[in-house]
Amino acid sequence: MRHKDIVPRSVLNFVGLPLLLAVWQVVFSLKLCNPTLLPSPGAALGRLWEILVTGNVLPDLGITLLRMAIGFSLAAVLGVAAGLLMGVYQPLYRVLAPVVDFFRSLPVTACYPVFVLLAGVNHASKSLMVFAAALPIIMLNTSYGVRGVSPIRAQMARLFGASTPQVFLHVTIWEAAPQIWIGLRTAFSLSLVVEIVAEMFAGTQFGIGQRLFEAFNTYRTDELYALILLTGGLGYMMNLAFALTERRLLHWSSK
Amino acid sequence: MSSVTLNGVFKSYQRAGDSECVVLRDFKLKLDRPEILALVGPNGAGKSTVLHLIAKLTEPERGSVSVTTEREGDVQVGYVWQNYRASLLPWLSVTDNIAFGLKLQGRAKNERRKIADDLLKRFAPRITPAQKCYELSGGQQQMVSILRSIARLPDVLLLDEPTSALDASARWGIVHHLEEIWASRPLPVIYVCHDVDEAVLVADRIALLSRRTGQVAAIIENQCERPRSARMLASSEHVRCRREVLDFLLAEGDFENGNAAAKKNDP
Repeated sequence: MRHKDIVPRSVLNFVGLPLLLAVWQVVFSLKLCNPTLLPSPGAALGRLWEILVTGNVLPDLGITLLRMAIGFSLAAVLGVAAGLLMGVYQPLYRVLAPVVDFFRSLPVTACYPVFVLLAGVNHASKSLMVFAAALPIIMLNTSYGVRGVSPIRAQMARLFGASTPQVFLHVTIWEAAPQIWIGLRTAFSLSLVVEIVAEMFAGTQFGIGQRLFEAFNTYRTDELYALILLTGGLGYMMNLAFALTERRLLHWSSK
Repeated sequence: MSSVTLNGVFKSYQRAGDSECVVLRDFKLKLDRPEILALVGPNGAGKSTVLHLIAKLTEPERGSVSVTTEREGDVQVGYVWQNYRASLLPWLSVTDNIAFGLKLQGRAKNERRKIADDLLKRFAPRITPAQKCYELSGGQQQMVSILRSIARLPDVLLLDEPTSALDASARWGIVHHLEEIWASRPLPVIYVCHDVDEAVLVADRIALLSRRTGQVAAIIENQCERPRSARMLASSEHVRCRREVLDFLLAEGDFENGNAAAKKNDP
């Protein structure tokens, strides 16, 4: 008998998280970890509920999302435009691909001092860091999408009398869309990571990262884990939103 | 009336390692009446190259390729690829795929939808117009591809191994529908295929391409009457044509696609 016959798949989707919390509770109850360093899941979830209900965390959440949105949006607009050009124009791809690949391989956090020098210590440097992390991923994925367009489809459109801009509008952009979306989705996940890390550096009053670091410094571990759960939940919801949008708008992806 | 003429065409390709491979040498072919001509020959004999030249997807190095029509306006060439998956547009519905060429012509949305839906109703009533192409079977997808190629009322229709990726039942379905479509609007059709029975069943004439000479080695006239069906596979005319094609392929050294085995079993 197959496992899906024993437990329906829809139920299995909701088993992972409670299981994790159960393991956490067992570790806490058996004192396998120092309770000062690892609070009970109840304490962490209780603190999470408290900071959400009182609105205590909202200014931090708001500023984190705002800085991330600014950096990511700029990277999305510029990255898709530059990636399309790279994909269409072969010599440009040859020139830019190694450079973009170099920056994608470079840990963006290593460049934080440079961003501070360029944009100051406050909001702009964080958004700039998100931008720098997201841009190469979006550019490369967009150019891969354009370069992967089926030559037969382009040939078919030309045979029907399509001009080069028409081939681009009616075939290339559509066929590249799933790969562009993969780039946006990957860059978006990374943007959250980079924004949180950037906020742990100096120079900011609000932000989830800053608050996490403060909780760590003051040994308020229930708040630390509450914020980790909040950040994880935020990333999960964003990823889910991307996946659902993809299923609806890019239904032909992987068909 | 439309016609296709290839006269003294030379075409070669660069192989890996920079050696030159001449595919067509002083190649001649003429279609000047509504008929289905099957192009049969071993791999590398230049069958697809002939279609590419007619569709102007590639240029001859020497010689001339002309497609003419008595109708006013530009010559329209319909083309059906072997790889229907890679030629259809999966983001569009069946109707919009069929109407794609009409859209590029600047035809109004209502008009192009009507043309596409009428074609579907007439030749493929089991396909739902709003379906996405990837939801269809292989045979249905190829059918959509054929309907797209005829929606613009082409002067010439070119089919490059349209059934080679399909199973036997879908293959005979396509052959049957093609004849039905052709009977509704006869035009010059060039049909490239590897399967000998399929070539004989579909074509009025069968042009045998030689890889050694890069030319048409012989043209076999097929006298089987239309409409044709799979039942005619055992008719004396079908068997005669089939033997001629197989004799040629064996002489060319083409033992691919089970043709040698087919010869052994031939009555």
